[in-house]
Amino acid sequence: MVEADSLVKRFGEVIAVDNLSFHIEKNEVLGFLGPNGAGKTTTMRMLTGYFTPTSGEVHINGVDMVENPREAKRFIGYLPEHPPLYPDMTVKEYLRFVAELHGVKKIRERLDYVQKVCSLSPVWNRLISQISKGFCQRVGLAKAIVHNPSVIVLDEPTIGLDPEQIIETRNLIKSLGEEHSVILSTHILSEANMTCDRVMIINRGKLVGEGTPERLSEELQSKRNIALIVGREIDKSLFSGIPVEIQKQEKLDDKFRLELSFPAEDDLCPELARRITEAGISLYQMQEKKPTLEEIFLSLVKEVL
Amino acid sequence: MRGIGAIYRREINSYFTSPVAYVIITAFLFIAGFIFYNLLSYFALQCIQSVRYAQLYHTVPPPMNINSWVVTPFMQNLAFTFIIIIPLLTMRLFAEEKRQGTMEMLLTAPVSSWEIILGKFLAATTVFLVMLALTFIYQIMLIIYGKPDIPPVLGGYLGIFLFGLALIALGMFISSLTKNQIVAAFISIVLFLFLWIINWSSIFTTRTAIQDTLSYLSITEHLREFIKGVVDTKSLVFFLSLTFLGLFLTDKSLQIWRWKG
Repeated sequence: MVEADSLVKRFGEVIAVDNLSFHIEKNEVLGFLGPNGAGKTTTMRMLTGYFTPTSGEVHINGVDMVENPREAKRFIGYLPEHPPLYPDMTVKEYLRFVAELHGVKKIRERLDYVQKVCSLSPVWNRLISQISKGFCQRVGLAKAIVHNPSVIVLDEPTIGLDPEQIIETRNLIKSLGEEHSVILSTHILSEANMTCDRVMIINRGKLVGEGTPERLSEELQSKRNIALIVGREIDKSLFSGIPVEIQKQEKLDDKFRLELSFPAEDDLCPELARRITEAGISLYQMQEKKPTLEEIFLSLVKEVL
Repeated sequence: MRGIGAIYRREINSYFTSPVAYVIITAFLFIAGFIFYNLLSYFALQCIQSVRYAQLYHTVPPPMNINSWVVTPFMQNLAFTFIIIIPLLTMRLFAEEKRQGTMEMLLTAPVSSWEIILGKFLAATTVFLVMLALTFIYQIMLIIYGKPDIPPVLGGYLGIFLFGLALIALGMFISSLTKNQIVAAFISIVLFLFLWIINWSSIFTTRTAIQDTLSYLSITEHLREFIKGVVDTKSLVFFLSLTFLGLFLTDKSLQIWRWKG
């Protein structure tokens, strides 16, 4: 569906994207992960034809973006980081304008469809300048899918939404992934975990890791970290015979908070719980600490060095 | 070509659903009406006076030419008013898109940059034509109540129309250079004023090549030909090439935007 071949984008002396190649299959959800300024937005802008690459090629459904932009752009639905909305138009007028720009034939049908899918009925005839941030984001999403594109490109689609809307949006992206190819960027690992089939980690314009979210976090995690809240202080001797290390122990009012780590290949959680309760210590909370993007990221950078 | 239609309709809606078009058109009509009223009143006063003198000295009153007293100065002042008014129409065309981030959606839509440019250009031209057409009422009044020479009236309107096209294209180009509407309007006004007075410095040189170039570049000189009722190919080509230059530079400016961001 999408082929990007050794993409480079320079802004003067700064190299924003450095020799990035990747491809996206049909009905695949690909996530771009990376800290701010990693080059995610610039990459997406080259994919969608907003920026001309300094060198390298983008093909959408086999059509070259630089040589035949008019044709290639028809296949793409794009939601930029800030939804590109006209405050002086109503939601309906705006989406109709987008549909016209894309040469949609059955405009009415498509408008009804996005109104339903993006739950826009409450604001359908309101001015865009008067609707909330969450609705703006949904109008942006509707803008990206109104012409039924085969590739949907979403730049940080859940930013600025409340938790309920984030869940709705993620579900929507998942369901879109069943019929379309989706590329989305995010800096939230859990989001990539939940929505993406495959993740690419980008730093300073370079690809530093790629794979399914599970594989990425497994590969990068040689140890599992568990946080516990228990009734009293725990001595190291309690864990004799199993490869558990106490990383930290601190007093929380009348309880204690512990951080433990053990090798990722053993699942020692039930054993830990058993030993603690058998020792007569009350166990209030036991939680696995998933690595954050920063931790994965730092480990990746370390590997590179 | 569907892009032109979609962009054109959006721009027209944007002009007429916001107060922009109404405020500009009203302000323009106030100024144009004021100019016409004063020119006509002065002309009427002169007529009465020349008739009184004739009665006093028992002679035939000299013929009064409504074209040179009303039509010509009205056209010139009208054109000058557009130097201030047209930048107000063109300032938002691209600057606003850049500021609110909608440029990204226009440039990633499956339309060529020429479709975007022409859609916007035609929309601004439409508003301009509405203004120009409304002032034609004054000419109709002159034709009903007086006997103006018709070719200068039509020639003058054709000239101002072409002059307006060139200003809109150049104003749009300047708007595509900045995110700030005020800056776009200001630079456009300065550029248009400069083109208006560019031939003034031709008196300081005796080299005819420079004099000719300056007078060829002067909007005023070309407009004068039209207002005389003479449709000169040289002046026609001048305004049309200025228009095309503006459109062409806008296209280049969008391409640079794609490179530099």
